[in-house]
Amino acid sequence: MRLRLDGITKQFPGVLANDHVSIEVDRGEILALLGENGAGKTTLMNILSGLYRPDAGQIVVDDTVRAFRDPAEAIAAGIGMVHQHFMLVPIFDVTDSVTLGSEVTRGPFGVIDRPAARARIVELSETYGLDVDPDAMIEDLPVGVRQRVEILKALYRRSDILVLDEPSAVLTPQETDELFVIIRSLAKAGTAIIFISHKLNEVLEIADRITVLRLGKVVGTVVPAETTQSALAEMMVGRQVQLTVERKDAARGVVVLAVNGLQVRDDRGEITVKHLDLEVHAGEIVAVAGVQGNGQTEFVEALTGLRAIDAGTVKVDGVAIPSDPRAIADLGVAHIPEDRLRDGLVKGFTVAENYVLDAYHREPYSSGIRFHRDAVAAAATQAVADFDIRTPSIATDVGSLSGGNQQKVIVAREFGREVKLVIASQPTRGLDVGSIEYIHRRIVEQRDAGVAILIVSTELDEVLALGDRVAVMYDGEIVGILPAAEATRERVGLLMGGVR
Amino acid sequence: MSSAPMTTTMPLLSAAERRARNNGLVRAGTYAVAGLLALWVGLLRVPGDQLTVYKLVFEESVVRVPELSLPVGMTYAAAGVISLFMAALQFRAPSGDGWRRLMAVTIFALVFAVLTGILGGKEPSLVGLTSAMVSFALPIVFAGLAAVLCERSGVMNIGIEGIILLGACATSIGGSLLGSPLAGIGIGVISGALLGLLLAILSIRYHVDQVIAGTVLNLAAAGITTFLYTRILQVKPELNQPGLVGSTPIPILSEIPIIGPTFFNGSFFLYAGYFLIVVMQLAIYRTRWGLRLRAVGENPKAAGTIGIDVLKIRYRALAAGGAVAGFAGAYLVVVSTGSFQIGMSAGIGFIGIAAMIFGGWNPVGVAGAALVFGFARSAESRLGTVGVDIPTVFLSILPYVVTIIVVAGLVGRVRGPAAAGQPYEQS
Amino acid sequence: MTGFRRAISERVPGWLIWPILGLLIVLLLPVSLVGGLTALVISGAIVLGVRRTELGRQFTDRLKLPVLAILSAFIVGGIVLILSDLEFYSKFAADPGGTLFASFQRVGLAYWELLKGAFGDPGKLTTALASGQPNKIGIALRPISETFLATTPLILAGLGVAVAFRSGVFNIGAEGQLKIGAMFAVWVGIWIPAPGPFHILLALIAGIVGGALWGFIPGILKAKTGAHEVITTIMLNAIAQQIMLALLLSPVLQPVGGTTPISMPIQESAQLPLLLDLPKLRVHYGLVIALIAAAWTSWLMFRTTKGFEFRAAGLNPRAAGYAGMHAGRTIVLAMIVSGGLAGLAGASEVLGTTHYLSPTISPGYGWDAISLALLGGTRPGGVVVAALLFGALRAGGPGMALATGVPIDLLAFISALVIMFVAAPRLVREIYRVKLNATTPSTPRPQETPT
Repeated sequence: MRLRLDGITKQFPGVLANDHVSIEVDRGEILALLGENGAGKTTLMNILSGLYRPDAGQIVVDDTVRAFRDPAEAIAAGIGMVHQHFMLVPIFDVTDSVTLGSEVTRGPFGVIDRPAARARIVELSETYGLDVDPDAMIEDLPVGVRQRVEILKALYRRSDILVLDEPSAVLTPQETDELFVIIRSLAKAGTAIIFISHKLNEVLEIADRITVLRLGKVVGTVVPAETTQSALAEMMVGRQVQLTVERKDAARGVVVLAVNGLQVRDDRGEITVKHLDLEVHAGEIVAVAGVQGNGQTEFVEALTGLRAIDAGTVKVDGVAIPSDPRAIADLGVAHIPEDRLRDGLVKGFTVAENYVLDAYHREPYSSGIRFHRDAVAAAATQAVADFDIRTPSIATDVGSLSGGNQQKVIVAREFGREVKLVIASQPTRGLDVGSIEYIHRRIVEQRDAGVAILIVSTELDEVLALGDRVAVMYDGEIVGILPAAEATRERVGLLMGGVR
Repeated sequence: MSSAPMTTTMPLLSAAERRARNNGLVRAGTYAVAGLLALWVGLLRVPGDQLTVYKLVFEESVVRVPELSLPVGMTYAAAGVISLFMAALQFRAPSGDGWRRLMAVTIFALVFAVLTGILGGKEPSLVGLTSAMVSFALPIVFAGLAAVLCERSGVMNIGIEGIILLGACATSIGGSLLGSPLAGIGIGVISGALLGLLLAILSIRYHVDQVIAGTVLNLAAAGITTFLYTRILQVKPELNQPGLVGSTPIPILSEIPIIGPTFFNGSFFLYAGYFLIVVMQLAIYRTRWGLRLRAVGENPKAAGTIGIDVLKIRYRALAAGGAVAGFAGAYLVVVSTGSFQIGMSAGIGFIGIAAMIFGGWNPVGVAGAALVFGFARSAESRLGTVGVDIPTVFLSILPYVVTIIVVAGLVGRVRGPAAAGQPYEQS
Repeated sequence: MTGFRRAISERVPGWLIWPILGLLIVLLLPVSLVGGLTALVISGAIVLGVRRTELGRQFTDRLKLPVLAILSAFIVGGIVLILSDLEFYSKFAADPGGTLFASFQRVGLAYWELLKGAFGDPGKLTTALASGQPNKIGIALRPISETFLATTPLILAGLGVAVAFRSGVFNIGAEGQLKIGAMFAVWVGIWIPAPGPFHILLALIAGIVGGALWGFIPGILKAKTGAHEVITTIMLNAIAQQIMLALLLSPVLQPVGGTTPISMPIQESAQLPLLLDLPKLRVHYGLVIALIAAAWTSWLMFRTTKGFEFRAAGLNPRAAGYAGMHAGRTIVLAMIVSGGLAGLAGASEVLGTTHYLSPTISPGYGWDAISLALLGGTRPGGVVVAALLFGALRAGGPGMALATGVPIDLLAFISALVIMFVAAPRLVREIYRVKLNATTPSTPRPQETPT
């Protein structure tokens, strides 16, 4: 099995997502597709999997030109996808999830033959060492296992070409290693693998060849042995990139945030934050690492008043926090939420309106019930200049800005007032390198001004680059706190996997 | 740790859990209050010797069965005890899953008591009551099944009411033109399917909000059927005479006292209803079609990425749902009244949606919920002959109040298809 | 001339001209071809003139969708009217061209009668004014007065729906809220003894409170339990209807010895005064109240912090919660305001128009309110204009039915079609091949709300 994409071009309104992209992968080979967020990797894969149709170019499988009109045809041609966001039905069990779309049936009415389907899944799971229980409900499975269910889905459909889109995003370094073992064994068995990532170290470790995408174009293809991280980074971004954030040593002050024995439950009533202790001092950055889904979301929601605290105390400057988000913000706590469009911004509101989203009720933006639009406009105009927000005007819908500029609107809003404590959740998720650098610089500036900063991130690189101290969260607990000097990738990685 | 306002000794629950618990407690409280009220009425307010005599057979029946004499006071008291018992059960497991049955039993008991009380001193026919229950429940079952088909595929169909109305109108005109009620039913079903498709096209192809699309369908149906009624059917009444479909009792089963005439002495619509309930229940949970339908309603994106044609499944589900709703409309015309009347759907479509929710989005549950609603309506219609009274208002708003309580009490316990109401865009 | 033509072809898509032209001619043919063409030229010139300014262009762009939606609805309505004529088919087989022409003419005549019924006959008005007789003036002004009369509750109910939509709550319970408001108001009007203006005020407030209560229920249920407001408001509509019927048959509202479900009349002190003291004119101060309410709503939504919260919660309740707003409280408050406005509509009807309560107090104003809230882009100004249009339909309907025998319910169908076309910009775009800007009326997506 040999796959070639030839001159693929895809235009979206306003964006040329793929511009004559050509890549090639042979059976048994692992091709890495490297590029920043927005480079066009996912679009390319959606074309390959039949979700989008290219405007130009062709897909060649084993020397025959194929045009996939829908995912079913791509699957029939032997292409299997493992999407970044898992494509599973939470209330189905593993057997139903895997067989969905290629069910084993008997009789004229399409009655599902469950024993047969189940047997085949058990067999596949054993052959490739996936260790998946065919009767478990998807919603009860941890992410790592869900990913293996996704791989099982591809294997069940006898895919010869397996595409993995950012597969390590939800895994610990150790789980990633296990995944790599599975990937290598699949390749050995003859599967062609396309591994999509923006993580340089991973790509260098797993790939036979690396194709780099930038702004929808192929920049070049290299072999791991003949390149380095910084060379790859330059290819990916188009200029020299500083891989670390430049900063002075932290000047640690008094304790600003003190969390003691915190316990929080999630929406389903499970205790997801268990007896958590943590302190953040003025003038330092504490970065909390951890694989997604270990209670970070609930932790941050509890700190910011969005979720009830089950037990324990949270104090800011020695005062127990109230249970109301606005009252907490009034204590001088800034919050950059984990999902900008879901939690942080109101799409359909202008840049100016979003700028005052949490301060609209204060002077000078309002007095009593009256809302002063002029004062809002003046302040927003100033903020757009101060934070270099690229927007046609302050009356532009925030939804039409780029991700980086959207995040800048949030940062401007949160940093635009006097704060003692910044709680930033995934502050740079999905941003391009330029925006990441900008946001990181702003955060470090705040630290140098004596603000206490708590960053919660699943990006190990970000945690290591920013944290004066690195705390690792696993299964609702802080399992270790390391000073920056001792926080190596390996040590943090082990802690992320729950190994103390 | 001098001041620790955040620490609390009470075992806290999550918001959803708390909500489910609170709702459960509210339900338990309601049952208890209603039960005490019934006890009070039964023991203190009703003269002890008042009787309601239910006749167990139709007059024309050959078999003689004794009559059922119920002292009104005792009936109230019994209903009160049952309610209190249900309240206790509900109280013991406020957020448990068995609340549907508890609620259904409580409603049945209380409605029956109220009915017996109001009919005090009279000799109503119990079979009349139960068979009216079934004939009121049947269109609700169809409406509920239609709603299940649509919502399982991820499309919220508020427009079932309109489809029923238009289906009824089409049945009447079609049946009259073709001179056969059966042909009329066919026309009604086909037009229902077409309307289902229309809704699908609006919501899927043209991205009209599903709620708006359904509302449009309801309003347009009300407008156009009234228009046609005044413009055509009033002028040419011969176009509004599709004929009636009679009962076909099932030989041996229909001879069973009470149960026979209630469940086995209906038109073929009744048997079609049984068939649909069973077939849909099996199809949704046991077949490839059902698996895909549920997948599309839960996570259409996941279904789409493995090559399932989400939109096709939705189009088909809506057409099927529309056909079933059209069948309900046909039933109203060729079984209930024999002709089309303005506004004859009378909220059945909405109560069907309520039955879907009450029934937990599965066909058998829908049937159970429809029986509860059908009983309330049947009791109401019995009382209508007695004269208007405040309790009649309570009975007539009962299905709506129950629906509100059910919708409000659901959160965290039973969930509908996750993607229902949301548009899905295939690139 | 070529400049003019180019101006037309540049600004208005060629396709569009023909249906509009055709419709106008069909509409005006029964009356006057010359008059119709003049009207066409004048309105065309106005549009082109307005479009020379940036603001004007924005304005006309925003009008494109509603105008096309209304046009399409009337075209479909006309087709239905033709096809529902049973004699059409046999005649068509004999003489296709002639029958078609005659049918078109009949549709045009029906719509023309509708217009006349809604706005009156200009000729009659001038002669009446010239004569100076109040009776004649009253008769000539009656159609437009009836239009304003119907517009009044529509504005109020439409504002209510618009406030809820903007706040992300799909309140389709205006019908029930209106009825409860009418019930509260009529009760105060009948039973509470109070002097003139004070009595009116009291009854109006009672109406607002009643509607607000009926809006509060779905609001609090959504906020506290997540119950879907579409289901609960539909159910509350039915409940309101049943309660109203029961009360109308009980001594609470029914006169002693009454048999029909019609309430006692309200006291004279609770009646809203008429706007014009001319015979035959029923339009009352409710219209002024409605316009004040529109201005107030506009102020509330765009010039107050509460409005800011409403709009934020409507667009993204989650982000509103993260920014420290209370999504639950906002929903409840929005529903109270929404229901209160609808309740005021009911109060204005019983206090100004009927002076008693009957089951037909609302011939579907609450449903029209949904259409016109969408048609007006959920903006208060847009709602007023759209309400005027729907008011005209309501007022002109009887005239149309009387003159041409077309059942009035055609208009209910047409207004449903208007919602459909407004809610389906893609469909309109496909039919007319026009570019519609993205800022078409936003329909709120029912969302799970964090509480």
